[in-house]
Amino acid sequence: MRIVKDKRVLKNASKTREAVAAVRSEATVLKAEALQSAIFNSANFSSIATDARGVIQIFNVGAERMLGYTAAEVLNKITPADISDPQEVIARAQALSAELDTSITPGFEALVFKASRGIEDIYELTYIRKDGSRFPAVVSVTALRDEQDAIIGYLLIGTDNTARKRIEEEQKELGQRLRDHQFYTRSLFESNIDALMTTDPSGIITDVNKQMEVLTGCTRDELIGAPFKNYFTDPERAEKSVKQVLREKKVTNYELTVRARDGKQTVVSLNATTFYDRDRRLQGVFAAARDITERKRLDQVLHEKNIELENARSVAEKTNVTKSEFLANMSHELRTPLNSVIGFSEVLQDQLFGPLNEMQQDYVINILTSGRHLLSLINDILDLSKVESGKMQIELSTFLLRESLDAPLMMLREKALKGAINLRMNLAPEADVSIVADQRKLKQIMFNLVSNAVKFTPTGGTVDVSARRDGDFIEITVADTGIGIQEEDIPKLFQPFTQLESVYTKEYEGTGLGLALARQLVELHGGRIWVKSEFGVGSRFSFTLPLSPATSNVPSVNRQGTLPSKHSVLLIEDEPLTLAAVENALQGQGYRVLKASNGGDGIQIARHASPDLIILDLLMPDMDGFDVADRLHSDTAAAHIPILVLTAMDLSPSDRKRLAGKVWGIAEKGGLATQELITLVGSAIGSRSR
Amino acid sequence: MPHKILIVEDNTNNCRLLRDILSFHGYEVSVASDGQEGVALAMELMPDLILMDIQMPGMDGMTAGQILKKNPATSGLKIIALTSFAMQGDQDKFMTAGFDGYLAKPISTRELPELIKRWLSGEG
Repeated sequence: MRIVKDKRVLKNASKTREAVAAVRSEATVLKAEALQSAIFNSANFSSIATDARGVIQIFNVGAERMLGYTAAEVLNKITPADISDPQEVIARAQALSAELDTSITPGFEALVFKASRGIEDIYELTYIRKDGSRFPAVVSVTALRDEQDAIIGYLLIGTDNTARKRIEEEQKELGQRLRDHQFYTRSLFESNIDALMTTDPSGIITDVNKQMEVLTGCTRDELIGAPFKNYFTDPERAEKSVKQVLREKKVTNYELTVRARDGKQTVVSLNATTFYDRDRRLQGVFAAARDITERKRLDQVLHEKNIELENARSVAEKTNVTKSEFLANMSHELRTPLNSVIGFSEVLQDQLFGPLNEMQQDYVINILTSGRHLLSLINDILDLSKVESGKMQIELSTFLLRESLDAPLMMLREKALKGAINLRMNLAPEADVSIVADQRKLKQIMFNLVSNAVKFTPTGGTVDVSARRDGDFIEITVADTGIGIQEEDIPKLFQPFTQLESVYTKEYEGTGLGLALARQLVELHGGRIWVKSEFGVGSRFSFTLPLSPATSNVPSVNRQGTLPSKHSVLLIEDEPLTLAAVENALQGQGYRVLKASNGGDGIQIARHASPDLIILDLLMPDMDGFDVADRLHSDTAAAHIPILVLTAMDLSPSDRKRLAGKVWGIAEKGGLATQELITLVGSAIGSRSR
Repeated sequence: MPHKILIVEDNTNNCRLLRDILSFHGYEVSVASDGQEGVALAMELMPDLILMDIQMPGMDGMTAGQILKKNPATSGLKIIALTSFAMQGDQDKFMTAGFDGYLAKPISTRELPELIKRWLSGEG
C-alpha cells in the first residue's frame, strides 16, 4: 500500500488501523471460538468444565457420550465427583492427604486438589454412567484462572480407558501364562534324571540342569560359560562329539567319561541335537548325558559269563575229542592182536597148511573160542563207552521189522535146538511193517535178548518172540520159561557189569554188558525197555521202538496215556518252590520227572533209575551239589548221565574248576527263562547221543 | 596168469595171515608195510586188487588211497580198505574217499576168499 502523506490519508490510515485491529481481534475471537467448538464437539474426549466449587458448567459431546447424561441433565446440578466411584474418591482423598500431608475432604476437592495447587495431575478414575454402568477413565485436571490468577474453575479431560484396561488385563494374563509355561519347561529341564545341558555352536556351555551340577560337582555359575569339553576325561573326543552334532544334526549313544571336580569318573551315553530359534538360526547344541555305569557293568558281567560259558564248552569239547580219540585208538589197538589170534586159529582149524591131530584141534578150538569171546567183550565195551561218552550214533534206515527179527532167530536156532528149546516167532499183522531205525542195533538188541532167553532156559523150554503195534510204537517181547529173576535183582538188571550173583553165573558166561547196552540202544531210539519176571517160572523182556523216531532229540509234547514218555530227568533240589517250578516246566514238555530233595537221595535215584539228565542244585544242606557231582562222576552206574547245574550261587573260577569235566553245563537260576531252561535240557539230553 | 594182489599193512602178523591165505588160494601176493611203500609198489606192479590197511603210522591208508585215486595212472586200481571201524561214520568216509570196498577187522578168514573173488570179478 502506498503511504500517502496528506491529512486526508492520515485520517484514513488511523481508521484503517482501527479496522484492522478490530478485524484482528475478531479473527482471534473467531479462532478461539472455532477451537472451543472443536474441543466441545470432540466425541473421544470428555471435557468437563466446572466452576471453582466444582459445579459442572460445560459438559461436552464426548462427556455426554461416555457418561450417558445430556448436558442439560448435569449442567449447574452436579460435580464430577457425583459421577465417579465414591470409594475411589475416598481412597484418592486419603492417598492425597498422606502424600501432601494435609487433610483433604473426600469429594470434588480430592479430584482437583493437585490441580488447584498447580501440580500436574492425571489419574485413573472410574466414572459411573447414567444407567449405573461403570467404566475406567483417565482424567487430566487443570485449573482455570482469571487475569489475577485466581481459580475460577477446573477443566477435567477424560478418556475411556476400557479398551486399554482390557488389553492390560490380557497382557497380564498372557504374562502369567508365559511365566507358568516357562516354569513348567524349566521344571522339566531341571528335574530330569539325565544331566541336560545346552551349548553354543562353539561348545561353550550356556545352560545346565541340576543333574549336570551333580554329575560334574560344579555349580551352574561355574559351568555356564565354560567349555563343554573341560568336564570329560577325553576332551578331544568330547569336542568331536559337538562337531559331529553340528555336522549331522544329531548324535546318539556317544560314550564319554565325565570327570567331576573331586575326580570321580562317570561313564555316560550322550544324546545330542542341534536347536534353532524361530528364524531357523542355529542356537547351539542340546545334550543329554545318561549315566550308563550300571549298564556297562551288566554288559561286562554278561561278557564274562559268555566267555566262561564258551570256555566250559570248549573244555567239554576237548574232553570229548580226547575221549573219542582214545576210543578210536583203543578200538584199533585191541582188535589188531585179536585179528591174529582169531585169524591164525581159523586157518589152523581149517587145516589149510596141513592136518592137525585131535589134541591140536582141541587146543585150536579153545584158542578160537577165547579169542571170539574176547572180541565180543571188546566190542561191547567199546559200544558202551561210545554210548556213555555220547559218541554212539544212530544210523537210520527203513527196513521191514520182520527181517530184524528173523535174522537173530536164525543165528540162535542152532543153539536153541541143542538145548531142545522151542523158539517161536509171532508177528502181529499190524506190526508187520516197515520201521525206521538203526537196523544193526536192532539186530544187536534182538540177538542179546533172545540169546539170554535161550541161555537161561533149561532144556525143553520155550522162547517166544512176539511183536505188536501200540499206536506209533512197536512193542517187542521176548518171553522165556527160564529160571526167572528175583524181584530184588530186577533194578540192577540193566546196569553194566552186574551179572546176577548166583550159582548160575559160573555156568552162564556172558559179558554182563548185553542188557545195559540193549537199554542204551533202545533209549537212543526213544523207546523203553523193561522186564517182568517170576523166579523159577520165566521172564518177559519187552521193549518199544517208535515206528519212526523224531529227527531231533528234543522230545515233543507228551500225549498223556498213549505214548510212553521218552526221557527222564532227575531234579536234585532242596528248595520246594524251585523244585515244583522246574518239575512243572519239564512235565509240560513231556519229560518224566524224578525228584530228590537232598544229595544222598539224588545219587541213589540216579544210580538206579539212570535218568537221561540230572538237574543239580549246588546249595543244599548235608551234601552240597559239588559233592554230588563228584560222587556221580566216580560212580560207574551214573557217571554217564549228563548233569545240568542250576544254581543261584555266584560261582568263582575255582568253583567252576571243581565242576569242570563232571557236569555238562551250568545255568543260573535267577536269569533263566523257562524257555531257555527247556532248550538247555533238550541240548543236554541230546548231547548223549552225539 | 594169476591175479596180483597188493597188501599194504603195517602189522606183520596181520600181513602174514593175509599173505598166507591168499597165496594158498593161488594169488600172486606182494606186501608193503606203510602207505608210502604201498603207493610206490602199486604204481610199479599195477595189481588187480589192493588191500589197504587204514590205520598205519607215517602215511596212512586214506592218504595213500587218495593219492592213488587222484593219479590218472593208478586211478583205475581197485582198493579195499581194511578197517577196525574205530571212528563214527568210517564207512561213509571210505566210500567218499573212493575206496571200492572195505573189510572189517578182525577179518573173517573163511569169508575172505569169496570176497576176493567177488571183488576181482567186479561184482563186489
